[in-house]
Amino acid sequence: MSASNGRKTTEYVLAVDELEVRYGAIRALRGVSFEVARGEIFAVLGANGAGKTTLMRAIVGLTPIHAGIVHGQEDVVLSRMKPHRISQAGFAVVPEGGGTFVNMTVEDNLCVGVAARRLPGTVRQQRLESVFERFPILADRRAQKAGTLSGGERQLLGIARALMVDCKVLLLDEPSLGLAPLVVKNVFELLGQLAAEGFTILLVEQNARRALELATDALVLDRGMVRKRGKASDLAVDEEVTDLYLGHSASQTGAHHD
Amino acid sequence: MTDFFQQLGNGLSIGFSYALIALGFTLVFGTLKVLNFAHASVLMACAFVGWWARTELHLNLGVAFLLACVFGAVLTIGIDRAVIRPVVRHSFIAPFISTLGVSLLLVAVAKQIWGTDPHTFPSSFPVGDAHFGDVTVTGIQIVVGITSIVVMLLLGLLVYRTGLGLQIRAAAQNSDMARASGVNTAVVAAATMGLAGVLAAIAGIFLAISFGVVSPFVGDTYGLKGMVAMIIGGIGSLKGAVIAGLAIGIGEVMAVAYVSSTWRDAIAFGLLIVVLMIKPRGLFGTEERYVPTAV
Amino acid sequence: MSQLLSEFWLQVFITFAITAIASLSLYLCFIGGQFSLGHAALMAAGAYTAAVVSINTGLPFEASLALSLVAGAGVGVVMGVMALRLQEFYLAIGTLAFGAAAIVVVINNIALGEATGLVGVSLSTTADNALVLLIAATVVVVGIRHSRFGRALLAMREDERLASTIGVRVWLLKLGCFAVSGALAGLAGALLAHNLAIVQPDSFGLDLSLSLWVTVIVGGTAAVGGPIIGSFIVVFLTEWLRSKIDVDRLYIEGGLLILIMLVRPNGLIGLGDLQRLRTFFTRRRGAPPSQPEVTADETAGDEAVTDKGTLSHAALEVGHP
Repeated sequence: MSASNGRKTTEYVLAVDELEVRYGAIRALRGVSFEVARGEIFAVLGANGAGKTTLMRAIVGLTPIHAGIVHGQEDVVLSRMKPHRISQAGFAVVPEGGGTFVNMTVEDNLCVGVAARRLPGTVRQQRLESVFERFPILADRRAQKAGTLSGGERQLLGIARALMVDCKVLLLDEPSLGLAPLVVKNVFELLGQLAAEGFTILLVEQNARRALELATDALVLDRGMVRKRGKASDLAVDEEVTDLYLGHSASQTGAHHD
Repeated sequence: MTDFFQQLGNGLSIGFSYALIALGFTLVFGTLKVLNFAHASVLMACAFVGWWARTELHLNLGVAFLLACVFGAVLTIGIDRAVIRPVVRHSFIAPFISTLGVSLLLVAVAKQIWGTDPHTFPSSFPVGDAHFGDVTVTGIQIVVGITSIVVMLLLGLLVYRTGLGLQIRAAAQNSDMARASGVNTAVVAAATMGLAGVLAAIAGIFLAISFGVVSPFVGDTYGLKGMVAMIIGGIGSLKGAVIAGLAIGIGEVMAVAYVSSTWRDAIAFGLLIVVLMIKPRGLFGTEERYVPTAV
Repeated sequence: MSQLLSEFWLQVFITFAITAIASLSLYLCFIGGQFSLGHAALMAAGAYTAAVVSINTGLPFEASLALSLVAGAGVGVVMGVMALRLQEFYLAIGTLAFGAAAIVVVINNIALGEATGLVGVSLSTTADNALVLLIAATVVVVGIRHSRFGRALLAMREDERLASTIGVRVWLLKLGCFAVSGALAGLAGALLAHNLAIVQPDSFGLDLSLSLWVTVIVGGTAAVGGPIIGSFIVVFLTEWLRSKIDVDRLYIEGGLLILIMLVRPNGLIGLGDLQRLRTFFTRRRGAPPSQPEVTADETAGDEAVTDKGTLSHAALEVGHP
């Protein structure tokens, strides 16, 4: 399946096509295909071990791809690029737990991406300032080691790091994991805000209910394969999805929309 | 008492060389999670290059020094590309083994070209001795001391105050995350290796001028002790490498002066065993497991 | 034996046998996941014991060997104490330091001949008794491998913490492992002493420990035959090449190491080979072919990198029976 197959890839910022990832003889992902349009929030759901993290890693180049293609916009073929180039193409990932460098200060954490892109000091300062404005809590802690931050703060730091490098697509792996419900609410609100500002968000989540409330489109992974795909609102009321991932109460009362 | 200070001075001088070797090891191991066993032999090779530049090409010490540094950087980067990168993905031990192989080869080549006997390193030195009361600090010791301190400070600045240093530290802590942040780990690897090569060259030349000889076996003992210093100090810790290197240097000289020269070699190893049994990760080591960085 | 080979090759055979026994002793440690770079010191323990016994007492060869076993085991246990505190890489370095320090102790000991060593050990090692002892050592190691002790060692190697939760007394296993390994190494050292008639501290340095590693790595760790084959290759290849071209031993060892890592990192008898061999035989008997593909979760295979970036010790995997 090639990019020149008449499909308009410019509408999408991320297109995954028949992706297959193997660990030895085990196929962690098989035949995964989907597209993410600019500015939307796309949720990837599924049970533990379904391949969600593998998918994320494959997109950003940290896990080798056995078959299939991943495109960015304008025919930028991510699946043939090295991870640092993918990052520089505008794809930022926030792994489970925030993905921060725990032994480095908050400020150092924020500056890694900027240093890697060799941006001048003025640009770095500018971006630091705007990030600290948006996240005053990080400003307070700028000289502290990232390891001393709370879970929620580390999640924010992870997102802030992505903003520092002017990313276009933000990929988050289980941002709600281990966080108190109030903190989760804040994080998800932030994500909604970012989407409104024009960022595209790919969200991997076990907390299906919250994810489907926030997302525009979603897919469900089951043992490495796409089980369901469609609009988030549709999936939220889909019986199979609710039974498996949302619990019976949701299927009886229907999805909640704030 | 003056004798004590004299010995202290001598010990520091040797210690600086150990510290430089340890820094090279710890930089590479800490960042790339690879133990470059060939580092010690690179040291020896650089010493020979410096010696050759002096005796065959009749270059002055400064130029020979620079030549050795360039050679060290290139050789180390070459070793990385040839036998470390290709095997890193197999297991954490594979680079250890392949660099061990390179180390043996380097010694074999040195033996072949220059024979097994030690050669004298021309010791005409522009800097004279200094005297503090009854304590003499030779010109060589002055230069070694000052250069070492400068090098260490520069290294510290590089690692903790520059963008490249930030990338190195990031790659050292979490190479996947570093790459996902845009860090080109191949460049970081090359820079780290190059730096280590330069450090090896500096240490090699220092040892050569301090003792006045080069031999194919220089790498073995000094390299080994430098590696021991790295571990005592804690892998990945720059300050640990320096402290441990100096401690071993001083300890050895003291042992020779006040106990017996035959116990000298036991200092480094004895210290290692004692430190590891108390702090299994070295003085400033971390709890990490060492998994080689795939580039 | 003497009828089969010339004087020269007999001596080479003896060297091979001694190396193989020492290699087997190191292999035993590998089974338990204990990476030791100090085995030369264990051989030295045996060698010096044999020398002292042979030179100073009238005891026969057999007694010398027996005492070397004990000495090797004893020093092995002392070295093994480090294993209670250190793991993996740090253990390797710790044992390296132990080995180096031990030699310094020997050099400073008058009774052990200081730096010059001891002379006058009886020339009792022959190709025949070396062969017999090699076979005996092999039987012992094979026996251990398939015994409860061996299985416990493998379990400890896989996951120490897990092993201790199922009742394995890890500290005892480690010390036991080093004890048996030390005994075998001591035996090899004794044979060496009785072969050369002299013992010198120089011969038991890091070089020797590393050479043993080379034999184990080259041969592969999947089966007991690995270390033996590795020793065979290193010893005979070195001698053969040297009789053809006058080349430094270091070239061969260095070159071998690099070659093996680049080409066959699992050694000559690697894990994959054994499995393929097994599949080959079962298929011929009409058994179903290799495992069907499984689409599953994030469990990583042997060569893969898991999400946390941990590489398995693929090159040193000891095959499960």
